[in-house]
Amino acid sequence: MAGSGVAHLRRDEGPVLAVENLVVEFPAGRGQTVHAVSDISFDLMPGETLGIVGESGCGKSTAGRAVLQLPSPKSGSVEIDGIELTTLSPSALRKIRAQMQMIMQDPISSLNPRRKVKHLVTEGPRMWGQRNKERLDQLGRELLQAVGLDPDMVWDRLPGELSGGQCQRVCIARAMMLKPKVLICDEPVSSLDVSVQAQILNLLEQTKTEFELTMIFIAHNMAVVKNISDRVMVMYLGKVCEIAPSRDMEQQAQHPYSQLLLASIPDPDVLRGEADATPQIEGDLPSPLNPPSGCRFRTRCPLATDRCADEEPLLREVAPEHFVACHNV
Amino acid sequence: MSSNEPILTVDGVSTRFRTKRGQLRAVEQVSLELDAGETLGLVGESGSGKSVLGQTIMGLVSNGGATTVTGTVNFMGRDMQGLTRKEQQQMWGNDIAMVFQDPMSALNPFKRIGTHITESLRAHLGLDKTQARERAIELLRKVRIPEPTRRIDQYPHELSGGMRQRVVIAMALACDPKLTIADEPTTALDVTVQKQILELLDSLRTEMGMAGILVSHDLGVVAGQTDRVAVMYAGRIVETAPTRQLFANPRHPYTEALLAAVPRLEQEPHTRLESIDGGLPDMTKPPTGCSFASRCKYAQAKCREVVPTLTASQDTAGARHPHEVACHFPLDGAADLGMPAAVGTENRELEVETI
Repeated sequence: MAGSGVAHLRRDEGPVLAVENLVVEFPAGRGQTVHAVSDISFDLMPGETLGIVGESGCGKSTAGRAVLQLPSPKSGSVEIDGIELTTLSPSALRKIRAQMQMIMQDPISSLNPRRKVKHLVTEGPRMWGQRNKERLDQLGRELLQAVGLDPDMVWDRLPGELSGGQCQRVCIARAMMLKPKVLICDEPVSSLDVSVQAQILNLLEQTKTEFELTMIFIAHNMAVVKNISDRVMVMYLGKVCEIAPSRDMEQQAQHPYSQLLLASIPDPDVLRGEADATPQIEGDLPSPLNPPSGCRFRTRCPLATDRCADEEPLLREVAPEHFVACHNV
Repeated sequence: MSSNEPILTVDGVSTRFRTKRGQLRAVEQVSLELDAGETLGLVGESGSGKSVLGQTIMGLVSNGGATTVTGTVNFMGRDMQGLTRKEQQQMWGNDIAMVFQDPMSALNPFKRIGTHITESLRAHLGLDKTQARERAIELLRKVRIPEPTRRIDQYPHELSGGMRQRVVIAMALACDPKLTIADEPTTALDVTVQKQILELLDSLRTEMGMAGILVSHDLGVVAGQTDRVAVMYAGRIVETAPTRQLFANPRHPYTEALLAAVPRLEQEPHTRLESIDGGLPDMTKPPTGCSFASRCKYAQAKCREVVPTLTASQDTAGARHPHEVACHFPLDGAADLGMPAAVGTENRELEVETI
């Protein structure tokens, strides 16, 4: 894997969001560079949900944030509705960012602990000059209701008085206040309990339909991603391994890394001593300061050959809408 | 000790904390047994009391001050709650050890990896400096840390999360304890690393014949690693059974709901998940009757009045480890859990969560 390439892009079909050859790097001192995201491309059709999966450090969050230009990528292009974001002036960018909202992993720390829910929810439009308090409050209450909170109950509460799941609902209501086009969810359910996770996943699905959103859903659990996405993109060390329709993920994932991720999900149906003999992949992620040459996954890959060290695989179509970057599958 | 005598017996343990809002009932009337070499999974949502139970068994939470512990914890013939501080120190790390959730805060950032492990070796086994170091290297090798001779002199921050958790496991295993309590050992780790760590823990437990308690909120983790499972809700054990039986035939509505809430790979994308609405009751004012009644879709009038007790199901009564459930109207027959039925997805209104 560790693939580049743009074979999977659907330029002619009018994507809402198109990201091409995105590169994000961070200086790491002593002249070193963290290669967080190296040349990835993806696009989203209106109303589509793209799931991004990978281990921590694979660049999935960085990719999500780079769409919002937080920070701006080193190179590559990000287009939303045909508007190129990477070259926009700061004030124009600020305006367009209102169309892209983000939901963070830790709902409690992403809300200001000293502000009441009513302020948190109405903050967005207030910043954009909406001064009509009645209108603001009404909208805020409607949205709280829409995310399954009782507005009268939570209106005057502080985030600390709410549970994790309730805070995540407030975050979703807050994001919806500005009527965004694109919603980026960065591990929105990773810190929640299974039962609350199910509530939030259902809510996101419902919100998406109701507000006609296009969504990027970032997570490390393949089963969660499969549940909510139309397409799944598997990332490893800043590169794309595989992009496939999510219904193909379970049976037809081809990249060895995708298979590793699939095999890692603890499955309540697999009991002790019955674990299937999936190829064990040992070791940790290599350092993004000095990623392996060629295919970046080759150091942990059971199929690796000499070719993988020399030549970087490109994404190629192996089935309709299913793209894999590997020399050996 | 004869082999069919359990090494751990927990009998009617309740743990309560005095808080500003009143007495918080964290653990209520929990009884369980654990045989040598057996692994028990404790499952439940956050706030269900599973960690507090683990700590009560360890003796990390004990009677006194704002805490009340009643009931008895008998480990290898000794009452864990009745130990003096000195006896506890001899016990901890030696006979009973704990693996904590967050490996970064379980390690002292100012101490080398080696120091963490040799500390207990020298205290409990009386090894000298060189012997302890040799044994520590051996332990690091056992938990499959590459280049143990180099790693032993490094500091925790130089290791990745997965490696740190391996070190924490090596610390717990240093003196060959009879029982390890692992409190969410993989929650802070990546899925791929989680699998490695769980398999490591399991193979070490089998190899060394240790008994184990695995505390986790993830049913998938527990399914693959344990012999028996106890499901906790609001401080009580609501269902306990051999792992296979519990997952094949959950009898408590809460267990069924938890299993149905997990997204599965076999499901089609956009399958609506069966969620449990609402939250745990306030344990400073526990409801009369079954604490799950307010969220239970099968609840009837009796459930709100009488607290159900753990009762063995008829077919397993009298077995060494019967399938016990605390429910007035337990479910029967294998529920179809892989594919939770989409109940009224069309016009389903959102329930408003009450606080």
